[in-house]
Formats: sequence, structure tokens, C-alpha cells
Amino acid sequence: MSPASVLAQGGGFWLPEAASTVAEAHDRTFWLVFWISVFFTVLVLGLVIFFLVRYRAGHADMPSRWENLPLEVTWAVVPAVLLVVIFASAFDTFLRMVSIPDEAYEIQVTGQQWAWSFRYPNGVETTDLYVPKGEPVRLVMRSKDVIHSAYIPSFRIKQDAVPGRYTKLWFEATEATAQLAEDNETLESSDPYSFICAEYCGTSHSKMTADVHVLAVDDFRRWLKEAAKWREGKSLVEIGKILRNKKGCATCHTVDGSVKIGPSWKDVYGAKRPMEDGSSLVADANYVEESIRNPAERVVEGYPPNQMPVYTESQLSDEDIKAIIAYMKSISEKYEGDELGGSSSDE
Amino acid sequence: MTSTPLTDHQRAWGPIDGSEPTYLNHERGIWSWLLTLDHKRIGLLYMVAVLFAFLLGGIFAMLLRTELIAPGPTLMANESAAWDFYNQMFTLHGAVMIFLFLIPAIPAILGNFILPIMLGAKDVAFPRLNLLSFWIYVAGGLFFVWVLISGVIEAGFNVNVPGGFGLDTGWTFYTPYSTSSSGSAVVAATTGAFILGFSSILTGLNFIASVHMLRPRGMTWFRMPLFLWGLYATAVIQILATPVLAITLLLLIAERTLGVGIFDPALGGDPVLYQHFFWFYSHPAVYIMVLPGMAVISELISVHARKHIFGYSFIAYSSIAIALLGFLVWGHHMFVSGQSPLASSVFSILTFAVAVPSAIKVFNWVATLHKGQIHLRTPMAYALGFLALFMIGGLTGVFLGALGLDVHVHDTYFVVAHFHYIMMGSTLFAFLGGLFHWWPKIWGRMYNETWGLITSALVFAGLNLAFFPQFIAGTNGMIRRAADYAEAFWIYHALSTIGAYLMGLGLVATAVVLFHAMLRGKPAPANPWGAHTLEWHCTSPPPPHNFEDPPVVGDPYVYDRWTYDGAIGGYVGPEEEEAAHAPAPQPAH
Repeated sequence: MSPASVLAQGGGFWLPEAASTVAEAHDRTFWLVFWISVFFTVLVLGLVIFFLVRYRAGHADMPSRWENLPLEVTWAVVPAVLLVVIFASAFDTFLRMVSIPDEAYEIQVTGQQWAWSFRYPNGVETTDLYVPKGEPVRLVMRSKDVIHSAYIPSFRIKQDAVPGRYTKLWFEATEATAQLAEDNETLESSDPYSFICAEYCGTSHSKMTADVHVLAVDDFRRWLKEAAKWREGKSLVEIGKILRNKKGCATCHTVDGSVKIGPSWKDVYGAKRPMEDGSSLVADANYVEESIRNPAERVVEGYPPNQMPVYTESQLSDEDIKAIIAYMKSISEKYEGDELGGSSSDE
Repeated sequence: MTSTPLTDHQRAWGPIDGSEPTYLNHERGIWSWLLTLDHKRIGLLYMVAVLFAFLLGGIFAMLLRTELIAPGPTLMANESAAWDFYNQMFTLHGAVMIFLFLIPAIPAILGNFILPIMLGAKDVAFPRLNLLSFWIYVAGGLFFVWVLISGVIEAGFNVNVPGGFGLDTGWTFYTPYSTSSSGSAVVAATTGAFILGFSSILTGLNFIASVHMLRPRGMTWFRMPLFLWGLYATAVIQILATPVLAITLLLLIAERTLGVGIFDPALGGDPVLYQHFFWFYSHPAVYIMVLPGMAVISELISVHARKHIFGYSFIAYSSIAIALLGFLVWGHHMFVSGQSPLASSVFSILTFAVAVPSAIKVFNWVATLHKGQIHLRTPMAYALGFLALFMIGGLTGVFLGALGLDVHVHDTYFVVAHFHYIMMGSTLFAFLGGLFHWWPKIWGRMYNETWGLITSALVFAGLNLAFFPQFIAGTNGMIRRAADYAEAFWIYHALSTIGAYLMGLGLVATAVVLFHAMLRGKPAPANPWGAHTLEWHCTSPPPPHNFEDPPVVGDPYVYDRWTYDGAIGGYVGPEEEEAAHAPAPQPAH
């Protein structure tokens, strides 16, 4: 075992845990370049300090001009050879990163300001990423607005999600971070990995993160099956509450009255709201739906325009909007039942 | 010589004996400065404007580092205000530092002042063009000032400013963020950068023409001081690359204002195309910033080690090699952008090719120290600091050029640390070293050596404390341009902010040392360092037209004929001897 690989095992100071198959290849290359760099830094700075002390002005030797062609050629050729070695090692790592196995399990990823969503083959959608351990996974990515970038430091992988084209990213996780309990619902999770947006994308860029849960293959299958049934047995309010997290609403809208990018949902339903254009209206179901489908139409005073993304029918169905409205009603004191008697009967 | 008493003005700015007019006192009044055609005065105009930009950029840096001193909002009441504030700060910091400080710093200030004198010429080839390029710089700079003011107006008075307020796109203006979703003053900022480009092009043009046409008798291409080689290589990049930036920014403005679909996929464009265009300029721009720095270092190390530069022709050729290869590596900014793996591989190999001439330069500088008579004066302290910082900045560049490694650290603090080691560690250190080196020539006054050394150590320590922890944060996955971060990264950010304050303090102290020298320094001899390039052959400060007769020159790095004279605190050269034997002056061509 080379000294470099011993240190790599110890890891932790320079690199986070290596938790994918390419991470191991990456770390080998990393330590190769690291130690070459340390060697040359020590060599050059050591010489500089030595010369500075030895040839400080006032010593008896007269400065002498000297030239040495073989020396010049040597210090051109040696770095060139080392760079070829480094290139080869990093190229090998890169090939592993971009060569996606055909049998990889495919998950669709959508980036938008400022949330990720993950869609599995059976139609399940999540805001955190769940993947099977020991199986190659392919992420097919797309952005709805500006450029984002998917980055999982522990897997050593990164790829931009670009609007108007699909990009791909793959990995094979080597460690499980979560187990699914017998009840098929509770996730016993240790530290999940981070799924981070690495390309600057606006106000809440730093909050555009998700967790990556790696499950044993069996656990993953069970979880996926159960996840497809998440609406079953839940009230509209509960569904709305879950959708707020699932669809990225929580990035900008709190439910405790504090202001993030957009207005808080606390006590907003049924309240009279002043608009940017000077008019005012009562925030009712119609206004909530308009703000989701066509957010630029009327913006509440004091909030920046063009921050709220458009949600189309395919992203948030009319049923989903109903659930969100039900949830908003449930946390609003201003709301005292609909005029025609229909009330939040789900509660 | 008359014996009339000196006026206050002459006493303040005259040469040692106050007898002869200098470029500083031969004409007076505000217009003699603002409309001057003298390259030395234009250099000083640039110094005022560029250092003002540096001050602004530095204030932004202090503010953004303060915002990041701890997780959560620091300077603002709530999260979204803090994030918007941070996003504007890092954008303005980057844009001002790059477009208004780093690109013009060495060529426009030191280059303008020194290049014609080094050539033994009375001025640059086109003095009027030179003045024009300064005023174009000011005009472009005003746009950035407007961007800043509009942000303050909007935040402070809650008034909508036409054309958007502030700027939060990052200095890179990546589409489609910059063309679609940002409410900020993108058009004003890009117009500013567009205008600044002309200033850069005109300076480059002037330097190329000067080097070709104005070299004195005896100065063949390979007897040219390496500072001129560096400026020449830089000028080539300025002329060839800057127009591409101009076109790119025009297309961006067209898309944003007229809705022409070029980069925005919603209009049928391609955002990755923008990145190709942008980096085709902006990677060579890195060499616009670094090559003049390397050129300064070649002078400083040789002069203050009092030894002939080692491997002259290798250093000269490597400048040209870096300038040309620099055009072929832009794709290494785009390894994870969706560019094809084949293209990425080619760009990676070419990037490594640039590392070779850079390594050659470092080894030659170190070899120059061997068997020298090293004087550890402030310029030399900066030069040695440059070597240390350039080693770290350059070698971490190898990580970033290496395909599989870049994927992990791309867009993390590793990149931030890397380019600050190059931009500040190399360009800024060379600039400051050059300022101290030529300060006696510019003002005719010596700086205080003790304080010069102390402040340079302070800046060096601050820079390392500010940026070394960022390498570790980056390899651990701390993304750049993030207004907030997880608790686990707090220690790196706290150290980095403390380092930034220390560096800020060091730079303010450096300014005090330089100001003190300018106003109260001891009179400087013509040649305090025993250097042999032509600017040290004329008085400090130089007379209005530099030289009475075109000088004849030989090898610029031979020091043995200069001897130290304690009485004047400087070196006395073979001038008289040479004058006696020199052939009749002939016009240069």
C-alpha cells in the first residue's frame, strides 16, 4: 500500500467520506496530485529560503551569471511528463464518471428556483433523493428556469442541469445510510448525503439542497411501493401540508408568519391583501390558484416580481391545488368558512 | 543653473537638488493633468482611478466576508435580505475587481509609466490614444458606479430604479439567469464592461506599436527587458480576445432588451453557447492579469538579487507561449456544463500544456536567486511572496485542469481559493512589489523600508489565512457563491473572514506607507537599487520628456558596473563613460 492510499483511508480532513464507486477512483487521483504538489511546493520554497539565507547581500562570492541548457530542458521535461501521468489518471477517473452503465436505474431530476424534485419510474415524486445501494443509478436532469448544478460531494460527482436540454449523471452508492422499518413507513436514517445546487441560481441558491438516502435494494423496493400510495388515508389538509414540502413551496413560504422570499401562509387565506399596483383583494381560492398558475399577474405589495415560478397542470394538478388551499385554510385565523357554507370539512 | 529660491511646489515635487523641472512640476493646474498627453501623468491618472476601484472592490470584499462570518443572516435583519445583499456584494466585488482593477492595474499604471522610459522614448507611440483610453476607462467605470448607486437607492429608499437595481448575476453574467429572471441592472453593467474593453484594446494597441517602433539603438528583441516582453504578450491578448467579450455582451444586451433568442432556451437559444463565448475572452483575460505580474517579478528578482536573470530567452518565449496557449483552454471552465466529454478531454490536455511554461518561469526565477547578492527590500519581499503564492495557486490549478478532479471541486471554494491565490497572490503581489520598486522613480521619494517590509508581511499572512482554509472547505464540498452554509463549514469561514480583515488592515497600512513616502519620504536618488533598465538612467522623478537624446543600450540585466554611493543612498553608473563613447544618436526605428 502506498503512503497516499493509507492517508486516503484515514481521510476526513481534505475529503468527505467516499461513498460511491467513482469516489474511490477520484480519491486515488486526488492524492497523486496532492503529493506531487506538496513535493514541488516544498522543493521550490525550500530552495528560495535556502538561497535567501545563503546568498543574502554582503557575502563574499561575487554574483555570477550562469546559464545551463540541460537544466532548462530538464525542468521543462520533468513537469511535462508528470502532467501526462496526472492527465492519464484524471482521464481514467473522468471516463468512469461519464460512462453510464446501460442497466442503470433511471430517475428524472428537475431543478427549479430553488428546489429539486426527483421522479421515479413508477411516478413517485420526492424532494429528497432515495436510491438503492450497490446498483448504478442514472439521473436524467433538466432545469425549468436557469442553470442549476447537481452535486453530491460524497459521491464526487457533479453535472449542470441546463434549461432546454437533458444532461445525465450517474453513480453507484457503496454505503447504505437508511433502513426502512417493518411498518414500511419509518425511515431509520443515519447521516444522509447532501445533494447540492452548485451553480449560482439566485436569491436562495444556498438553500437549494436535498438529502440523499441510500437504502439496501430490498428496502428501496419496499419504500418505492409504499411511496406510490402516499395519499391513501390522508385528509386534504394533510396532503396539502406534504405537497408544500414536496413541490418546493417551503423554500419561499413559511407557515409560522416569518417572511422568506414570498409571503408566509400563516393567516393569509381570507385576509385583505394590498397589491403592487395599488389595488387590494381578499386572498381567496381564486387568487391562490392564479398565484400558482400565473404568478406574475398580481403580486402582493412589497414582494419582488418574477420570483414565484409558474406551476403548470403537469407539475401541480388542480387536485393538488385544492389540497394546498385546504391546508392554507387550516392555518389561517382570517378564514371563517366559505360564504356558501362549504367549510374546511376535512378537519 | 539659476540660484533663485525654490517655490514650495518645486520643493514638494522636484528632483533632489530642485534644479530641473520634472514631469510633476513643469506644468501646473488641473487641466495640465486631466488633458495631459504625457504617459507618466496618464499613468498617475490611472493610478488614482484604478486604486479607487480597488478600494471599492475591497470594501465589497469586507462586507461579503462579514456576512459569511457565521451561518445565518449577519448584516441584515432576515434571511432573504441577507441573501440578496450577499449576492449583490459578491457580484460587485468580482466585477469591479476584475474589470476595473486587475485588468488595468499593471499595464495601465506601471506599464504606462515605465514602458516608454524603458524604451528610452519620450512617450508611447500614440499619446492622444493613450489619453482617450483613460477617459474611456472612466466612462466605463461610471456605469459600475451607477449599478452600485441604483442598488443603494432601491434598498435604502424603496424606489424602483429604471433599468433594474443592483446586480446579482455574478461577474460572469451566465444566461439565462442574466437575461430572464434577474431584476438587476444587467444592461448598465454589461454596457460598462463593453466600454471598458475599448480602453483595454487601445492600451494594448499603443504598447504593441511602441515596442515595435520605439525601441532604441541596441535594444534588439532579445535585449528587451522582460517587463516589456510581458506587456507585449499581454497586449496581444488584449487586442485579440477583448472584441469577443464585446460581441458577447452586445448579444446579451440584445437578448435582454429586444428578446432576440441567442442564449435563452425559452427564446430558442443555447445557454452553453454563452459560456463558450464568455470564457473565450475571460480565460485569456486571466493571462491579461497574470502575465504583466510575471513580467514585473522578472525585473524585481533580478534587480534585487543583483544577478543577471537566469534563462532570459526561456522566460521571454514562455510569455508568448502562455499568451497563445491561453486562447485554447477556455473549455476547462465547462467540464460539468454539458460540454461533450471529448471536448473536455482536449481542453484538459491543452490546459496542462500551459502549466509547462509557467513551471519554466518559476524555476528560472529560483535559479536567478542562486549565487546572487539578495537584498530583502520590500519589492523583493513581494516578489518572494509572489513565488510562494503562485506555486500554491498554480499547483491547485493542476487539480482544476485534471478532468476527474475538477468534477468534484468545480464551483466550490477550492476554485475561489485557487483564483484568489492567482489574482491576489500573483497579480496584486506583483503590482504592489512593482509600486514599491518604482515608487522612488515615480515620486522622487523613498519609502520607509522597515514599514514596507512589515506591511508586506501583514498582507502575506492575511492572504494565506483568508484563502488557505477555503481549499479545505472546497474539497469538503462547500459550494461557492452561497449566501449561507451549514454549521460544519463555520470554522473555515470564520478563519477566512479574520484573514480578510487582516489583509484589509495590511493593505490600508501599505497605503499609509506609500502616501507617507510620497509626501514626506527622503529624496530618492536616480537609481536606488542599482538596476540597469533605462528608467533608472534618468532622474527621479523623470524630466518631462524622459531623455534628452535617445540612449543606446545593451543587456538590461548586467549590474557589475553600478557601484553603491552611500552619500546619495543609491547607485552610480557608467553613464558618463557610456556618453563619451556612444556614437552619435540616431532616430530609432
